[in-house]
Amino acid sequence: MTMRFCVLLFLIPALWAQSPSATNGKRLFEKKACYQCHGWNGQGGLAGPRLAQTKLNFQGFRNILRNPPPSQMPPYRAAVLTDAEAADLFAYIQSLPPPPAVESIPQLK
Amino acid sequence: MELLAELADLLQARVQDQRMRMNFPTAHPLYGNPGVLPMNPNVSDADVLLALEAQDLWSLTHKMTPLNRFGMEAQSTMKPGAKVITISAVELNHKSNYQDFGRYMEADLSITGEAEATLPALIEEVKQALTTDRRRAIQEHGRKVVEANIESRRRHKDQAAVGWDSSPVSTARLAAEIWAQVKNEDWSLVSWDRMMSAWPTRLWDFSKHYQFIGTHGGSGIGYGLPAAVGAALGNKKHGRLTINIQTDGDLCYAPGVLWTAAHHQIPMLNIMHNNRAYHEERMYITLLGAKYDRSPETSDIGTALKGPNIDYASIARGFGLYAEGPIENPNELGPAIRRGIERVKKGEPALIDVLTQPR
Repeated sequence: MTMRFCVLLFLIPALWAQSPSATNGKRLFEKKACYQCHGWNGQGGLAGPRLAQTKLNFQGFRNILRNPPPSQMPPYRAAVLTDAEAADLFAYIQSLPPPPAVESIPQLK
Repeated sequence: MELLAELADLLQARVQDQRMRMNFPTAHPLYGNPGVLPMNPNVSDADVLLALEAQDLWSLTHKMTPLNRFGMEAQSTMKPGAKVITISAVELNHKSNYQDFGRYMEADLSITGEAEATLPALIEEVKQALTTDRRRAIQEHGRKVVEANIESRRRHKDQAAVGWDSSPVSTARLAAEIWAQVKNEDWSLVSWDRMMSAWPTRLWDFSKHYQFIGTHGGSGIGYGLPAAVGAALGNKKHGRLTINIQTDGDLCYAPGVLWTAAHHQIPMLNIMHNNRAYHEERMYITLLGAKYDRSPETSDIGTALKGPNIDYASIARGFGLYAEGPIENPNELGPAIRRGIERVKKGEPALIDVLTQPR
């Protein structure tokens, strides 16, 4: 009984450490200048594509971060953004809320 | 513009506009995807490229590879076997060794002449060459172009809705709020819109030659506001509603021209796209730094216009303009623009400062 209790205590912090943090991802979104091209809401524009509601999985997202299309995006290698930070960033992007329906916005009709 | 639309209709050909001037109606169903960088339209799927007064044809049809051990290599972006025809007076104005000779684009058929003056004759030739079979084939092609245009417009609006209520105001919202107030007026946009992700091009209906001033030419800073005042002066005698979406960094270079507008009573509504930065430079520093594994955290140095923030409404009032702002709540934007338009319609310049997202 004592043994099981000890194992659980040991595992829980390890699980926490592996879980990506959208909160930290939000901080990184500013700190690592993602907003500069993709906008504060991940809406995208001419300088960078839309990130909000991305269809990429984490592997695809990480691949683009590390090896972006030439001349279009800064490469974010591990020296600038670790894999764990990339995971946090991805968690934040996935947490961005869906936009209102276009039909509900008179200015866009 | 009407001639180009007639030729496009005849050929059912997609028209890719560099937005250097007002050349083609943006709501035309054959208008190419304005969501790409306007300076570098996508021509990769073309069988034939007819380039009319195209600047820097080489850049339109090529891209550079990333730096490798051979340096950077040029690659054509066109399909193998695709033909290039040019009608242009640009060839009479060679201006630089690098662009005109170092990166010379050899066209399959190069016609030196003024494109607009050539269009009526070209249209007549095309009409005579169009057989029934050819018409059928190009109608089928045109249907695909129109479908792509409709899908592109749908995506633009969907994207414009992202961050709709956010503060700072998204550039899409800024463009949409202005359009809602001016679309029933005889309006003229006297600023380039690339710095706000070309949202006016994507959301507005540009249909008259005077509705867009076009690009700076060299992407220089400090050109925008003086050029806008000049264009507003040109619009004055026609009674047009002049709109200048003014970037903050650009205004800092020659703000005195606001006094010129006030002194000469040049009616124009200046709406600040105030992202509190020389933002193009900031993005460039981020891009270059990352290539050397430098974190972009210091990209604000020398590029951010904050600490203290600049009060553009006070600056404008100091030069004698009616001014409001900075507006941070997007819901306050529409009423502020309406108040600005009221002042402009009385014959005076006005400025609305809006705190915006970067691009």
